[in-house]
Amino acid sequence: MKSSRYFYILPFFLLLLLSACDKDPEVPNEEELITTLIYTLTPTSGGDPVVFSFRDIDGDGGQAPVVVTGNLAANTMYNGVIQLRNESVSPVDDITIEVEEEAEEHQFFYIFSDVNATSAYADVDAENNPIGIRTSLTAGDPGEGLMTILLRHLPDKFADGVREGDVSNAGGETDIEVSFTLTIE
Amino acid sequence: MAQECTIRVTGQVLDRATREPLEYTSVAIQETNRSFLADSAGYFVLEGLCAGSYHLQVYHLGCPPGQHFLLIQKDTTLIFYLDHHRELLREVVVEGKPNSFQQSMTQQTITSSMIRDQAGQTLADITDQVAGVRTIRNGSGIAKPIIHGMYGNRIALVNNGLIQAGQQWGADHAPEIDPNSINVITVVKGSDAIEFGSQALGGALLVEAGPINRDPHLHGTVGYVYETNGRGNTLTGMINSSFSKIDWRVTGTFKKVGDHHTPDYFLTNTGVSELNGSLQLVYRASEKVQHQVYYSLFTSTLGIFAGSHISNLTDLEDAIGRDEPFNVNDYFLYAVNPPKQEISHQLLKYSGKKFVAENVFLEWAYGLQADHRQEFDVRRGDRSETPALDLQLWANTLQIKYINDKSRIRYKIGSQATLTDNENDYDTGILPLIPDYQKGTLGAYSLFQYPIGKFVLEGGGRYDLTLLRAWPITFTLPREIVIMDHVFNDFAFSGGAVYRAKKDAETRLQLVAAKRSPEPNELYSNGLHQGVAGIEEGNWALQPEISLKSILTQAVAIPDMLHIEMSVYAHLMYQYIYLKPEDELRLTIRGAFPVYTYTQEDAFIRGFDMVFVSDFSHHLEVNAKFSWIRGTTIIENRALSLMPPAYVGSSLAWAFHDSKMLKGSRIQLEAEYTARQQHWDSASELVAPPQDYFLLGIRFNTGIKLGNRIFYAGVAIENLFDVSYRDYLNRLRYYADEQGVNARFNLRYEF
Repeated sequence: MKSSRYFYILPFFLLLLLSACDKDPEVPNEEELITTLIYTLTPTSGGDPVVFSFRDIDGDGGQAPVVVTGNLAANTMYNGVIQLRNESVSPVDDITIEVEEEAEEHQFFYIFSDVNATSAYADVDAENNPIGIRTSLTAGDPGEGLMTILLRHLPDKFADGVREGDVSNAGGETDIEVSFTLTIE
Repeated sequence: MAQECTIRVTGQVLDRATREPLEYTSVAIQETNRSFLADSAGYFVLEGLCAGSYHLQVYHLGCPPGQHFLLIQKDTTLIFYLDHHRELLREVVVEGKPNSFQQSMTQQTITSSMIRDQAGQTLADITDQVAGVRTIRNGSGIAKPIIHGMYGNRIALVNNGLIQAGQQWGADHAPEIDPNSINVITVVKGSDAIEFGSQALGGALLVEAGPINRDPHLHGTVGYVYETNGRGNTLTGMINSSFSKIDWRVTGTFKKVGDHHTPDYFLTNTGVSELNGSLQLVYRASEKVQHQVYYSLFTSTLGIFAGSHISNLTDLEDAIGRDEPFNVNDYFLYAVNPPKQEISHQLLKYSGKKFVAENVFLEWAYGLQADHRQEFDVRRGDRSETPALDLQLWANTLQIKYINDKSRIRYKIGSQATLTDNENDYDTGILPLIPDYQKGTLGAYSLFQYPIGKFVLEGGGRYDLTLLRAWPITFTLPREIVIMDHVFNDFAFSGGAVYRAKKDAETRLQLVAAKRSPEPNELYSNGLHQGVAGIEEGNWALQPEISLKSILTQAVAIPDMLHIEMSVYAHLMYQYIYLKPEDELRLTIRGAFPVYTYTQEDAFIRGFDMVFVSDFSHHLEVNAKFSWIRGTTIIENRALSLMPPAYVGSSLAWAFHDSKMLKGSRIQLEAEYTARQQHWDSASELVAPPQDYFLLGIRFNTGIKLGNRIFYAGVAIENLFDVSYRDYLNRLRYYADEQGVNARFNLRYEF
C-alpha cells in the first residue's frame, strides 16, 4: 500500500519532539501561606505570658502540625495578641501585617466550648468594627474545654451579632481555624 | 444565446434519521419563485429548468426548512434529507457522497439545525438531549457531558478530528468549544470510540465544522439569542462561499451573560462572557485531493458562584444549612469577580484527503492546540489579580488514516502521534494542583465491518504507547521537584454484530475491552479543591484500569407510527480509578478537611436507556426517553459518586401546516422528571443527594418567509413554573438552587 510510507513519519516525529523536551519547573514562592499561629496571653496584673501555638511548616499534607497549649489561671484577665507567620520561607514572613493592612476584610473569632472563658475585642478597623488581633480574655472558674480561633476573610461585619464575636452570620472564607485544649486551673 | 430550458430534476425527500420518505414535501426554487409538491412517497419533479445555479428551499410539516444550492447542467436526481425525527438521528450523512466509514453502531448525531435552534447554550446542554447522556456542572456556565456514567478523562472529546487538548479532568473544566462553530455533533457510546484512543472507554463526543456548501454566492447566518435568566445576549454569525477551487467559512460568536437567578435569589458572580471565532479553508487541488486549514479560537471568562466560595469543612457545613447562600447580592450584575476562570483555547489544523478510488481514501492531519487556563481566587493583599492556577498546555497531533469502504470487508486503519506539554506559571505563589508534565503517545488502530446476509460483523483493535514525564513537587520541606517517568502500554479491542431481521428492526451487540493508563491528574493532583472543601491527592503508584463494556441495543420501527430504541449496557471495570474519601480528616491551619485520594477498586456500572418516538398523525408527535444507571464497587458494594439518577423526559409536539408566511412551525411541550439518587455512599458524599424534581418547558419554532428570505424564530421557556430544585450532578447543589424560569428568544436569518 502506497500510503504505508506515511506511517514511518509518526515514530520519528514523536522521538524528535520528546528528545527536545527540557523543562525547568520551579517551586513557587508560597508567600501567601500561613504556617503558624501564635496566641500570646499576658495577665493584665503582670506575670509570665501563656503561649498557644499551631505550627504546620510544610502546609497542608506532609508532616502533621505541632500544637502547643498552655494553662490559664482561674478568674484572671489576660491581654491577648495574635501573630500569624509564614515560616516556610526565610526570613520568616509576618502575615499579621497583611491582615492589619486589610483590617476591614478580616475578623478573628474566639469560640469557647465547655470552658468558662470569654473574650472581647480590643481593636477596631477604620469602620469601627472589631478585628480581633488584640483581645482581652477573661478566664473564669477552673475547667477544661476547647478554644477555637477563626480568621474570616471578607466576612460581613455588619451582619447580626458579628461585631460581638458571633461568627454564625459572618459568611466569608475561613483563612484560619485552629482549636486548642484550654485548661483553667 | 437563447437557452432551452428543458432540464428536469427529480428527487426524493427523506427523513435523515429513519430514511423514510417524507410525503407532501414542497420544494421551492428561489430564482424562479416556483414551488413543486412532492407526492406521498416524497418524490418530486422540477421541470423546465435552465442550466445554471439555483437555491432550493425544502419544506415539510414540522421540520426546519432545508436550504440547498444546486448547479444544474443536465437532468439530475437528488436526495434531500430533513431533520424530521430529531431524537433518532443515528447516522451522519454529509450532503453529497457518504464520505465516512459506515457508522452503523451505537452513536447518535445532532445536526446543524438542532444546534442552531439551541444557540446560546453550552455544548453539554446540547448533547444532553441524547439518551444516556447527562451533564455534570459546576454552576450554570460550566457543564460537561457524562456518557453512560463516564466523564472527564474517560470521554474523548474530538474537535474537528483532533482530541481536544484541554484540562478535561475536573468537573469544573468545561469543554472549550463554541457550538456556533460546529455543524455536526456525534455522540459515540460504543466501540467506534477506540479510533480516538484507548482513553475513550466511556465513549466519545465528536464535533465537526462539517463541509462547506459548494455555492459560489456569499451565504451566511446571523443569529441573536436573548435569555431572560442572566439577561444573556448571544450574537452569532457565519459566512461562507465557494470558488472554483476554494471553499471558505468564517464564524464568530459573542456572548455575554450576567448573574443567573434561582426562583428566590441571584446566583451572584455566575456571569459568562465569550468571544469565539473560526476560519475554515478548503482547497480542492484536484478532483481527488483536497487540503483544509482550520483555525478556531475560544475565549471565555466564567464566574464561580460567590456563595460557593468557602474554605473548610465548617464553612461548608454552615453554607449547606442555609436557606439563602452567603454572599448573594439582591441586584443583578454582568461583571464577574474572583473566584473566576479565564480560558483561551486555540486550534490550528491542517488536513488533507486523497480519494484513492471511489469510497477509498486517505486522510492525514497535523494539529496544534494551545490551551491557557487561569483560575482566580479571592486572596489576601492584591493577589486576587494573580491567578491561583495558571496552566498552559500545548498539544501537537499528527495523524493519518486510510479508509476502504468499497471492499467486501470495509476497513479503516490509522495511526496517531500526540505530544502534550503542560506548564504551570509559578508566579501564582501557590503549589500547583497539577504538576508540569510532558506526554507522548503513539497509537495505531484498525476497525473493520463485514456484512454477511442480515448481519454486519464488526471488530477492531488499538495499541497505544505512552511516555509520561512529570515534575511533581514534594509535600515535605524543603520543597523539591522530582522527575517521574512512566511508560504505559494500552490496548483496546472491540467486536460486535448488527442483525437486521427486517427493514424495521435491528439488534446491535457491542463488546469493548480497553486498558486505560492513569492521567497526570490522577497520579499527581495535590492540593485543595476550592468549593468542595476537599484536599485531592494523586497516587503516584496507580496502575492502568481495564474496562469491559457491552452494549445491547434493540431498535424497532413501525413506519409512520412508532420508533423504539432500547439499550442495556454493562461496564465492568478492573482497577477503576476514582477519588476515595479517606477516613480521617486532615488538620490544617485553616481547619479540618476531608482528604480524597485517587484509589483503584473493581467497579461495576450498568444501565438502561430507552427512546420512544411516535407520530400518531403527521401533526402530533410524542417522544419519551428514559435512562437509568447504577454504579457500585464490586467488593464492598458501595455506590460510586456522580452516577446520574434515573431520568424520564417526555415531549408532545404539534406541527402546524405551512402557511404562506410561516413554514415548519412546531410547538412542543416538554416534561422531565429526575429522580432522587437513592444509591449513594454516606462516606463519599458530603450531603445527601437532593430531592427529585419535575420540570416543564415549552418551545416554539418557526420559519418566517418574507419574499425569498427565511427568518427563523423561536421561543423556549425552561423551568416554566419556576421550581426550586437542586441537581445531584451540579457541584453547586451544596450551596444553592438551580436556575429558575428562563425564556430564550432566538432569531436567525440565513442568507
